[in-house]
Amino acid sequence: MLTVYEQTYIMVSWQLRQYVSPMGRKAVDDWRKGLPAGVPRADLDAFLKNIVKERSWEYPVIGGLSGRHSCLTELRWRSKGKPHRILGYQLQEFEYLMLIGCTHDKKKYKPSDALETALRRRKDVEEGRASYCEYQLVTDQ
Amino acid sequence: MNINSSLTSELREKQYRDAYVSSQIRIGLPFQIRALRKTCGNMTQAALATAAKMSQPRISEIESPGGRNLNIETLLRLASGFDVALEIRFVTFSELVARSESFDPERFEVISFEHEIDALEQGSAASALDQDEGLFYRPSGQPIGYVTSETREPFADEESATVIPTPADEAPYEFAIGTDTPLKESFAFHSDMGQHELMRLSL
Repeated sequence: MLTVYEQTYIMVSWQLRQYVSPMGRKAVDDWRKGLPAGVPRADLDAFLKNIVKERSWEYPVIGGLSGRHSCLTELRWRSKGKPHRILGYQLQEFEYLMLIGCTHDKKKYKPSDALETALRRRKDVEEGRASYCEYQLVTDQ
Repeated sequence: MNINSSLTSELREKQYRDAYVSSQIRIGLPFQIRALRKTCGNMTQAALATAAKMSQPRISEIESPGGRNLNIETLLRLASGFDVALEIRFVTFSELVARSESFDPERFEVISFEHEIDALEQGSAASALDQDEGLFYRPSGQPIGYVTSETREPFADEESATVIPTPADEAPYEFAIGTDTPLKESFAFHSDMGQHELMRLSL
């Protein structure tokens, strides 16, 4: 008899959601399309594909915001030396809602109203004026 | 590579293809380094910094996705700090995609040379009993078990052990394995229990 001993495991995977406006615009899909083709898009794809596999998100890949924006967190990476962010919040265990994508150059968000937009979108989702949907990762699946 | 996937569709563009390769290094490697540090007994950044002869803030920067350009010298220092080998080679996109997609930071482990040599010594003793026996390793190098003609107790540090049935049994797995079937050097398969990866090491 031939016997192989083997450990099995289940891969953890977060579910990423994205904000959908009342007009049906998908926040992260639209932002991704607006990024320069090539490195910034590939970096976004690689970052999100890696972060969903991490059981717990910690600094430096996520950071909390302060003051009025403390109900939000931001996913963080750099692309071509420029800090990139996705503002959002955790819906439930292993589920994160992305509200807006932006850059954060020299401590300034671009678009400049990204924080306020994220706050407003969170409120819109919570009060039923807007919704969210699954974010499809760019994968081999 | 799945020719109908969204990734393959993107990869058809040369600009994205080139960017994908660099993203695996600038974005993917920091995740890999952090995972490795955690599976190395939850090594602190300070401990890795000392072992790799770097400063702790530099380790922090290296672990930030896209935060720092990782050159070969830096990677060699990190490999030395972890006491593992480093391989840099050209591969097909299919291979790169497969490795990237299956990367799991929670299970990523590359054992240090000290632990590797212990496992090899155990394996050598076992293989002396039967030439068909051999240690099985994950592609990461982590020993997971060995093929034997008799049932063996699992390694002490195995969380659980599953006997993969011989073809004579009703196996739910997607591959056949048995004394009459030559063993592949490495293979991976899925079952309802999760993802499995095995690799045979020639002893």
